[in-house]
Amino acid sequence: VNRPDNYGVNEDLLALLEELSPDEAESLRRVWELASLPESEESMHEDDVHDAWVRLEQAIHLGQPDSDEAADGVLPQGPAPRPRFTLLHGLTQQTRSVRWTVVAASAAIAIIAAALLFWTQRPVKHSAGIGQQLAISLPDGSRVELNSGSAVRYDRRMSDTRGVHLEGEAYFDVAHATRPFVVHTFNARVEVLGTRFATRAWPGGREPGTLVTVERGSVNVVAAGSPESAVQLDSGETARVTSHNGEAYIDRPNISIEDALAWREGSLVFIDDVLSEVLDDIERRFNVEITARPDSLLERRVRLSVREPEDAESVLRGLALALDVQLTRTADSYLLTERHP
Amino acid sequence: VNTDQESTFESGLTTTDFQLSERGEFARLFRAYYSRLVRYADRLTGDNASAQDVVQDVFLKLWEKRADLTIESSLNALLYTMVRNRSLNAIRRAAREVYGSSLAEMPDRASDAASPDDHVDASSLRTTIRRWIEDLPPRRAEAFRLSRDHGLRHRDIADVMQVSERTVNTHILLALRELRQRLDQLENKQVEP
Repeated sequence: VNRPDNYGVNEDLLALLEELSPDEAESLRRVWELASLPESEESMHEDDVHDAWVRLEQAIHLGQPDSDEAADGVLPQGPAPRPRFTLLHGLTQQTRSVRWTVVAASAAIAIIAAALLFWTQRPVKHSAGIGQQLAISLPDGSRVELNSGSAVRYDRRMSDTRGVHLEGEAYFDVAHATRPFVVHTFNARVEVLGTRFATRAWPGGREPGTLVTVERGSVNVVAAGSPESAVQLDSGETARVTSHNGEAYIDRPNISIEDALAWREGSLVFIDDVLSEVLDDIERRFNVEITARPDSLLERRVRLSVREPEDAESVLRGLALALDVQLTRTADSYLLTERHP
Repeated sequence: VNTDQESTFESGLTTTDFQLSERGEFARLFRAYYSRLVRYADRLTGDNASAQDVVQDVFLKLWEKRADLTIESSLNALLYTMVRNRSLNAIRRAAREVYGSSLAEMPDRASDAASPDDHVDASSLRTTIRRWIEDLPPRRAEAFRLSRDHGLRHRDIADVMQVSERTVNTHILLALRELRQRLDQLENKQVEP
C-alpha cells in the first residue's frame, strides 16, 4: 500500500543532522524512523473523502448556479452550509447608502464640534520610565498601574467614551459605569464596564501582539478592524490578538492570572516567550543592556519565573542556567552566548 | 527511504500550473489534501466535526477565490496556513467547551512512564513514541508533526506557524532529542532486570 502520510528522512532534517556528531545523528535518525504515524491515524477512508467532496460540490453549486464568473466571491446561499468560520479581515464588500443632503447639513456642525473637541480634549500622556512602575488615577476614577517603559494616553475629560491608548503593559482597575471603558492597543481593543484586568501590547519585537488577562469581571477583546472578531473573557481567562499578513486572529493561551500579574509584585514570569522578548522585558525593568549571540539564540523559547529579583544579574543567571548558555558581564552590558563544549 | 513518497499531486503541481479554474483539477487537489488537512485541523481543534467544517470552508474559499489566488510561497504553506488560522478561530469561538474537553482528555503523564513489563517490539515502540509526542510542548509537537506526518518543508512550517525557519529547526531537533532521551530510558530499563 502506498503510504503517502509516512515521510522518510527529508533534506531539511539531513541538513540538521549533518551538524551533529555521527553518533547523535544516527540515534536521532532512528527516533525519526520509529516515530512514524500509525496506520490508524493515516488517511481517511476513501468513501468519507468522497462524501466530503460531494458536500463541497453541493455548496459550490448552490453558490454559483450558472457561470463561474457570475458567482465569484459570493458565498453559497439557501440550504448550503455557510462556512462557520471566516477570515477576521473578511473579503465581504460593504454597501453604503449615503444621503448627501444630510451630509452637507451636518458638515458645518461637525467642523465646529471638532474644533471644540480639539481644545477640550487634548490628550494626556503618562509613562513609566525604565526601571520604574507608575500608578495613576484616571478622570473617571479608574486606576492604572504601568509596568516599566509603558505608556497610556487618553483624552483629558474622557467625555463621551472612556478610552485610553496603551503601549506596553498595564493593569487596569476600572471604575464601574454605564459608559464602556475601552483600552486601545496597536492591534486590538478591550471593552469593559467595570473590572480588573491586565493588558500587554508591545507593538515591536519578534512576536508583537496584545495579551489580555482578566482578574475579575469580564471584558470583550476585539481585533482592530474586525468588529466580528469579538471574544468575551471572564475572570481568569486570557486572550491574545496577533496579526499576520494582514489577517488578525485571536487565540487563548493558557496563562494563569498569577503569572500575568506577577510584574505588579516585582516578579518576572516568562511562559514560553522568545528570548528577544524576555531580554526586552529585563532591559525595561533594570535599565541594562543585554546582547545575545548568535542571533538564533534570540528565538529560543524561555520558561522562567523569578520572584522579586534584586538586579538584572540574578535574572540573567537564572536565564543562562535555563537555556544552558554562557553569561558574560562586560563593562556596561551583559552578553549571552552559546556554550561551546 | 527518501524516495518518491511525496504524492504525485504535489510533485506535479507548482505555483505556475496551479489551475484551479478546472473543476477536475480542483477535485484532484481536494482528494490529495482533504484527509491530511482534516487530521491537522483535528489536532488543533480537538474536534473532528469542526475539523471537517474548517477544511470544507478552506476549500470553499479556495474555489471562490481561485481567480485571484496567488501563492506566495508554496501550496502546502497556503493550505496549512488557511487551515491553521480557521482552526484557531474555531477554538476561539468554541473556547469554553473545547478548553474543557481537551483538558479532560489530556493524557495523564504519570501513566506514560514505562513500566518494566512493557514489551518493546517495533509496533508498541512506535505507539509509545507517538504518545510521547503528545507530551512535547504544543508548538514543538506541532512543528514535529507537520514535518514527520505531513511532510512539510521547514520553510513551509515556518510560514504556517509564523516563526523563523531557525525556530523550526530548533523545534525539530529538540523534539527528536527529547524523544531519544525517553527512548534511552525505556531501553535501559529493558536491559536491567
